Amino acid sequence: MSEPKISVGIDVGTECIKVAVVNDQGVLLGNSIVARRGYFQDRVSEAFPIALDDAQVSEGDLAGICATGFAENCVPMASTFLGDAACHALGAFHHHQKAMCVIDIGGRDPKAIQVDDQGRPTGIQTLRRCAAGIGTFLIFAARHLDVHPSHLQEMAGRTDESCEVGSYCSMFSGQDILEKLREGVSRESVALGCINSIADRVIEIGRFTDPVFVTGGVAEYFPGVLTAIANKTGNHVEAIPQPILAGAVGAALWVFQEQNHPLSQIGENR
Amino acid sequence: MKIVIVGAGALGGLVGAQLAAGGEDVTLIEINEARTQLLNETGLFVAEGNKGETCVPVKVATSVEGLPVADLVFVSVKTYQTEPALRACLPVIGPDTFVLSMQNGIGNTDTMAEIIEPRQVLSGITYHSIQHVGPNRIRYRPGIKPIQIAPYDGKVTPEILAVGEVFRKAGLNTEVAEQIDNVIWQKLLHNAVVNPVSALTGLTCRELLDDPHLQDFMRDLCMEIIAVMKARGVPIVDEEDPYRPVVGSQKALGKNRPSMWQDLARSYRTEVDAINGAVVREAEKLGLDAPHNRGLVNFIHSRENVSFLRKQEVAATLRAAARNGDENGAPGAAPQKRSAQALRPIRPAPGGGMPDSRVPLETAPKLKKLITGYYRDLQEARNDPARPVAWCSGTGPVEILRALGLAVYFPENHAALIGASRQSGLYIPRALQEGFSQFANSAMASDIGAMLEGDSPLVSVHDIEGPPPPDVLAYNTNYGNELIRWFEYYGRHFDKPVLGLHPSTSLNEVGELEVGAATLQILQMVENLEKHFDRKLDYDKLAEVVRLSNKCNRLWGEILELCRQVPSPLTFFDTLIHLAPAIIMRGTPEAVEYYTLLKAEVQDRVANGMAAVPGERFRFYWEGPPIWPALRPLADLFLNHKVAVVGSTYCSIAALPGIDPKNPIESMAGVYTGIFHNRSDAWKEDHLVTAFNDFGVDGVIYHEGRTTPSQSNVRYGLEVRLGRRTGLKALVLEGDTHDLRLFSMNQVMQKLRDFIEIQELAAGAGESRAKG
Repeated sequence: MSEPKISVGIDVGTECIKVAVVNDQGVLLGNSIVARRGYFQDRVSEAFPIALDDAQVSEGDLAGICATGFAENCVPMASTFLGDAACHALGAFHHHQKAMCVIDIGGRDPKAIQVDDQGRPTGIQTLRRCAAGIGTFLIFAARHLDVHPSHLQEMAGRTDESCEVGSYCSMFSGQDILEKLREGVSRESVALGCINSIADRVIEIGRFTDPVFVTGGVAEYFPGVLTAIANKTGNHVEAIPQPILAGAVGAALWVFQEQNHPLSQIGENR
Repeated sequence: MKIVIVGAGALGGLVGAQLAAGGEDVTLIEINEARTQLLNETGLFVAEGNKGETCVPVKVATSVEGLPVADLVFVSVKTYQTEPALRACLPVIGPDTFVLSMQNGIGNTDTMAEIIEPRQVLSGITYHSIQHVGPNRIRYRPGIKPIQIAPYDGKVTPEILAVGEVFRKAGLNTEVAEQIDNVIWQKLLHNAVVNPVSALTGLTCRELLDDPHLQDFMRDLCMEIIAVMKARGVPIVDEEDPYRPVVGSQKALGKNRPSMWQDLARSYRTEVDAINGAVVREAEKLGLDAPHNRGLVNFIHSRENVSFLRKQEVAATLRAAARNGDENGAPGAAPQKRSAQALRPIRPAPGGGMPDSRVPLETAPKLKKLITGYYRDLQEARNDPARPVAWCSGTGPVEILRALGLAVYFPENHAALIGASRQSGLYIPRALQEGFSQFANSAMASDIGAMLEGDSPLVSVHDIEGPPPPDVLAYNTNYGNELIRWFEYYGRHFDKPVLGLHPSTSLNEVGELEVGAATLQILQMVENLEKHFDRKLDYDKLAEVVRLSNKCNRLWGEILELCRQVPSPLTFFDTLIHLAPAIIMRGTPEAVEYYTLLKAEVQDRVANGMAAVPGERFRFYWEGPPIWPALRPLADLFLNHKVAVVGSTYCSIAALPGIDPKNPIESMAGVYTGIFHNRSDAWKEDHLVTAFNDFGVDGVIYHEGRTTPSQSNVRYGLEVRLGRRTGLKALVLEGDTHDLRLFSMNQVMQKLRDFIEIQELAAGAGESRAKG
């Protein structure tokens, strides 16, 4: 019997649980995305078999399972762990094998990760503020605007007129939305204001060097954020294919990489 | 078999652990109390080469008192301690007890045979190479040849064979022989040639081999010993070239250093008298001369004098201080009777408290004693109307206050204790009721809130009634203006005068103008204090306090400098714990004595290559104040990722060089005005660039404390400017010194982990990293 050549990455984010099944060539064989509600572990148990089923593999076929994300500790079947910044870098490089700046925009705080032409992450910048609440803010804004989060982008796309929504604090921004609605501003215009507010928070991280590739759930569901970042910075900004799965794919790829170069050996014997 | 091992050093520890693991009834005797306690609590960690460690539970006592008569006493003390150690063990030596020595050199069994029956004396030899890698850790390489045991009188009995059997059963490859004198001489030859030369030059065996000059000398030295051996009738292993086997053993030992080097590095007495000294004595008996050996004995003794005697002097002072302390009722005094004003204790919340070092310092228990002594003395002062109490800021005019005979208390240290106990959240809301903003200094808010609630960590930690109320309060704004409000609040609360020093700030240079202004301010403060307490400042006393303060600061600075070594002997978290005396006991002899000992231990760690973070892979610098309530999780995170935080701005505050007893006031004015926090951004940048370089760091963590703007230099772009200058990777943590509600600890931990992982991946798998 040959060694199993399939691995799984499970990215347990604050808003969604993402599972990716890949083979050692990096081909995505199957995946699942489950919205988080209640306990993380319950949703992990739900998402994991769906992805295996999607890939038509069974647990016995797996070389390993890597967990990442906010609640990686809620993955009892994990054989290894890697932080989500590193996973997003691996996931993005997998699609575009060149030096790049990866911006991960998920449920919580966004981060920028520099990756060299060998796929090695070389640096990371994060936002300094306490509660950026990027994706979570958009979900909460959708509730104020009485649309399903997946339709917020569509709503914003119907106008060019953005209203001003603050970017300092999610609570203050929520207040801004309510004030605009009180003044009778169109919901489309407020939706676009929210998208732009997210872009404002992201560009506070610092200057990005092209090419910029975006990963994470926001890139998946709110692509207007990318356009706004590109307009505000002049950068070439592009989402990777299936950006929401980047962390899970990166985690799955790590299972193979770690077999050759475990972190525990890096930097030893210097 | 009942076995008593006298001396739990490298050899005693290893043999004791092996025999204990083999099921024998083993008791180790170790006179160092701290070490005895540590070994009983943690067991002894033993590793063979680079294989994994095994923890062997061991029974350790400081004397043989209460132990039954033993079947075997294994003497593994230094050769010069053989006689007193054996005499101390006489209560457990019965007529059928064997006493075995595997010590270095010759003459040990002769000494023993003068005290007990020669038939009870066994001599032994081992080729194990054993090194201490921590107070409770040893690493060894098994000998190339088996352990040999022989009776002193040459008569092998079944009982002696049984001793050999016990050793074999414990996994120690052992043979019993009729006599091993010849073998002992062969080992002596090696030790006498290699040990002193390595100890004096500091070179490893491999480096000795590469040095033709030393090889030349060592060959002559070897031939001198061979002449003595021949005259004594000892067979020579390699008649053709007697030096060849010594070369072979140097090759085999490679990067190892002999015990004599270890002893000198740790300021211990060496065994040179039983090694080269024995050769000299033997040569004299045989009418030969051994000038090389005699010379080496003198050189080694000279080196011992330099370090060892000084260490003995310090230990004697400490013992004297401890005796005085007992007489004065502190430390170790009976708990004080609580008065009506006594505060309630603050106990740490889960996850709070100071972090434990993975590798405990032997000096650590002394720290607790020292600080308790300090606080108990404050309690005495509180009860004694003749001893007024001054509250002082950490980098305030403590020398003046002490010289005036005031007992000095530091609210900042108290606040740090509350923060580290993770209980600030209970007290800050109380302070907010006094009208403080949630962004007011949280150390102040914690301290004031706890006082208003009537709680203090001093009650549970040091068993006193709480902070002694002040008769006067004195601060210096060099560490930040927040102190003004903090001290003024207490001034109003206790209705006592508040005196402040307000040096010029944001300085590039501390020039005449600044020193002059600060000097005048200090003189003004002295005048006010003299008036208030109706006593005169004794300038001789001030000079003495300043002398002690300077010594303390210098020692602390030297200890921090030792962390430049790779691997670092201490981390930021260790230095945070050991910083307290430099702040609250500056200007006392006790602080000087404590740091003298601590420095010796840290030097010892450096000499032995002992790492505070085992397997150190990355070195970080911590800029900004500590996050007191999160020290434990942070220390664990760094440790698990094998990151040593080797330097910090915070702990280097107390390394204030240049206070001069000959010119106390003016030198204090200059030094206290020139501390890091009182400097310009340009000066701070230059200073940090030098520090990053000196400590050889791979990355920098900047902590921005939300309520400590004066200590959070990163608020105005410091990390970006330094990043451009140094290219070092940096991470900014938004946090706070005390208030956990102002930030997300989860976010801080996640950011740190991402930062470290990215560095790990950037380092490149399998590639070796260049330092710096």
